[in-house]
Amino acid sequence: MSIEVWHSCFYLLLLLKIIIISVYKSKRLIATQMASVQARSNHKLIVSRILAALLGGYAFVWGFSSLGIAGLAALGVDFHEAETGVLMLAFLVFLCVFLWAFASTSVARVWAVLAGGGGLMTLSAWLVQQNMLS
Amino acid sequence: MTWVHTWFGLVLGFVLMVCFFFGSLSVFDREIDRWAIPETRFDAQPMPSFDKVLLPALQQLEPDERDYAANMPRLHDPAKGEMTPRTELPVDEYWAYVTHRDPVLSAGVGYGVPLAKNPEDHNHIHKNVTLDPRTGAVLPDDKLKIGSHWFYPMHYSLQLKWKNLGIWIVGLAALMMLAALVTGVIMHRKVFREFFTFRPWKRTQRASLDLHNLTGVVALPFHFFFAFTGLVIFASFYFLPVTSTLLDPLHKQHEIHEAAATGLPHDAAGVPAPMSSVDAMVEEAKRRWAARDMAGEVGFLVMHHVGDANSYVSIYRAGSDRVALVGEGIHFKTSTGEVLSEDPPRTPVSEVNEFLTGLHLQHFEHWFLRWLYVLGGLLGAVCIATGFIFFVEKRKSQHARSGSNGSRVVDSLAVTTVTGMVMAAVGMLVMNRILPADMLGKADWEKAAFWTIWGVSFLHAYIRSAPVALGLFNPAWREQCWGVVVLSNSAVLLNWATTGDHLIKTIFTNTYWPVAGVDLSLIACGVIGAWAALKLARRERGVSVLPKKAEKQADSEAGEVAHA
Repeated sequence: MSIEVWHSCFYLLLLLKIIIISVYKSKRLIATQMASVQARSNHKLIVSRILAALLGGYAFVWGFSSLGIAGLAALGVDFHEAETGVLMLAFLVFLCVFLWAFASTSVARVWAVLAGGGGLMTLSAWLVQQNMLS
Repeated sequence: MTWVHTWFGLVLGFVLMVCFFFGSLSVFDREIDRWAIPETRFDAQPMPSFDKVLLPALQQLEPDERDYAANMPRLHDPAKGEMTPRTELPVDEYWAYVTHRDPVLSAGVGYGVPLAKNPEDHNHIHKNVTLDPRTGAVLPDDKLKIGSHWFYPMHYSLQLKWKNLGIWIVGLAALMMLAALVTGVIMHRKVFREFFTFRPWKRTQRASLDLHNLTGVVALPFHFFFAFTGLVIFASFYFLPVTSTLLDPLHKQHEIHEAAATGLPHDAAGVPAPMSSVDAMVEEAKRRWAARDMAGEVGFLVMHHVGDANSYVSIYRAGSDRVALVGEGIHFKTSTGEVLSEDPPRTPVSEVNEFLTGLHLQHFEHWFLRWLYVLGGLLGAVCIATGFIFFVEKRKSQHARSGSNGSRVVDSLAVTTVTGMVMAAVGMLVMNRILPADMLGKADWEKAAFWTIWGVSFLHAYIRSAPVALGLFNPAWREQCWGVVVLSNSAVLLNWATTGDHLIKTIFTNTYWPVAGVDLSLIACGVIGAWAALKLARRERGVSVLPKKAEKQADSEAGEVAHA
C-alpha cells in the first residue's frame, strides 16, 4: 500500500481516537460524583490515587508515545512527522487518563491499566525498534 | 471532580500564577529589556552584513568559561588524549538571530570538541553574545535583560535550574491547568450563563466565585491553548524525550537518511576550504523568497562546519508576518556560494505543530493581538487569584471556629503571589534604575532585590494575617496594594531622572514606544493598585463593624452583608 494510504489511515485513527475519547469522557461525568465520595474516605487510598494519576499516567503516556512513534515509523510515516504528531496527542491522552484516574471506582484498576499498559506499550515499542533496525 | 479541581488547583495555582503573570509580561519582554538597558533604546534593524559586521565580531570571541568548565569533561573522552585548552577549541558553527521586536542582535559561536566521547553527536562549547547591529560592538552581558532573561525564563522555569526541576514543575502545573479547566467546566455545567454573571456588590465569597467563573470562561480557549502549547513546546526535549532515549537508535538512523536526502553534509570533511561572500548568499535567498511571492528579511543565519569543505550556510526567513517563527530555509555551500537545497514546504503535521508553538511564542508583528495576549494572560491570573480568594472565603469562618490555621496560610500565600509578585517585578525595575549603569554585579543586586521583596511580602502577609484566623479580611492585601502604587510610580519617576526619557518625550517629541509602553503600564498598575486599596479599605470597614453579622452571613447561602 502507498504512503498516502497509510497517512490517511493515520488521520482516520486520530479522528476515531478523538471521538472515542469524547464519548468516554461524557459517560464518566456520571461516575465522577460517586467516585469522588469514595476517594475521600481513605487517606492512603487518596495518596495512591494521586500517585497513580501522576506516575501511572506518565508511564502510560510514555508507552503511548514510544509505541505511537515507533509504530508509525514502522508503517512508513516519516520519523519526524510521527514524533511531532504523537507528542501533540500525548498530552491530551495524559489529560484524559489523569481525569479517568480520579473518576474510576477502583484504584487498583487505575494502577493496572496505567502502569501495566504503559509498561506493555513501552516494551512493544522497543521490540518494534529492534525489528526495524535489524 | 470538584475535589481534583479544588486541591490540585490550590497547590499548583501558586505556580500557575507565576506562569500567567510573567507570561503576560513576556509578551513585551524585549521592550522591558529596552527600559532596563537604556543604551539599547534604538530601533530594530534588519540583519546587518555578515561579511563586514558579524564575522569580524564573531571571530573575536572565545569559548565561554563556565560552559567549558561544565561541559568539556562531559563531552571529551580522556582515553583518546589530552583535553584541548579552552582558547584552542576549533570554531565549528556561527549563528545570528534578529527579530523585529529587538533592536539588539543575538549571535554566537559553537566550538567543536576534539577527541569527543561520541563524535557523531553535536558536541559544542558555546559562546553567545548580544551585538549592536549598527556597529558589531559586543554589549556586555552582565547587564541583566530583565524582560527576556528574567521574566521570560521565570514563566517557564521558575528560575529553578537544578536538573531542570523548575521546567518539570511548570509542566506539571500546565497539565493540572488543563485538568482544572476541564473539571471546572464539569463542575459548572451552565457555562454560557456564567459568562454573563458577575455580582461584585455581593459578599466576597459570591463575588469572587462569579469573577473566577467569568474569567475562566471568557478566555477558556486561551487558557487551554496556552497550557497545552506550553507543554508541546518542551515536549520532545524535556517532558517526553522518547526519541533521544528509548528510540534514539531510530532517531539517529533517520537523521542520517535525512542528511543524505537533503544533500546537507552531517559531518565535516576534515578538509579546509575558503569562505565565500555570505552577503551574496543573503541576497540570493531574498531574491528566491521574493520570487515565491514572500519577500522578507533574514531572521536566522547559521554556518555549519566553519572552514571545512563540507561547510554550508542555512538562511531562514524572519517570521514577523506569519505565525511560524522562522522558515523557508535555503542552504548554500560556503566555499562557492551555490544553493545546495531549499527547504520543502512543511507537511501537515509540522505545519500544525509550528502553528501551535508559533501562536504561543508570539513573534509576529501585530500590536493589537499582542495586547490581547496580555489581557488573556492577566485574565488567567485573575481566575487563579479569585480561586484562592474563594477558597479562603468559603472556609475561613469554619476554620475560625475550629481553630485551624489553614485559611490563614492560604490567604498569606495568595497575597504573596498576587500583590507580592507584582511588587517584586516592579521593585526589580526600581533597583535597576537606582543602581549605576556600569556597576559590576548589577544583575546580582537586581535579582536579590526581586527575591528579597517577594520574601518580605510573604512575611508581611503572614504576620498581618491574624484576622483571617478569626474569619475577617487580611489587611496585607490593602497594604501591599499601596506598596505596588509606591513602587510603580517610583519606577516611572526614576526612569525620567536617570535617563531623561519622560512620557512627553517618549510619546510625542522623540517617540519611542517600548519605553513609553512600559512607563504607561507602570502608571496603570499604580492606578489599579490605588483603586483596589481604597475599595478594600471600604469593604474592610463595612465588615469589621459587625462581626456577628459576618458569622450569620457565613451560615446562610443567600445572605448579603448589611452595611452600617
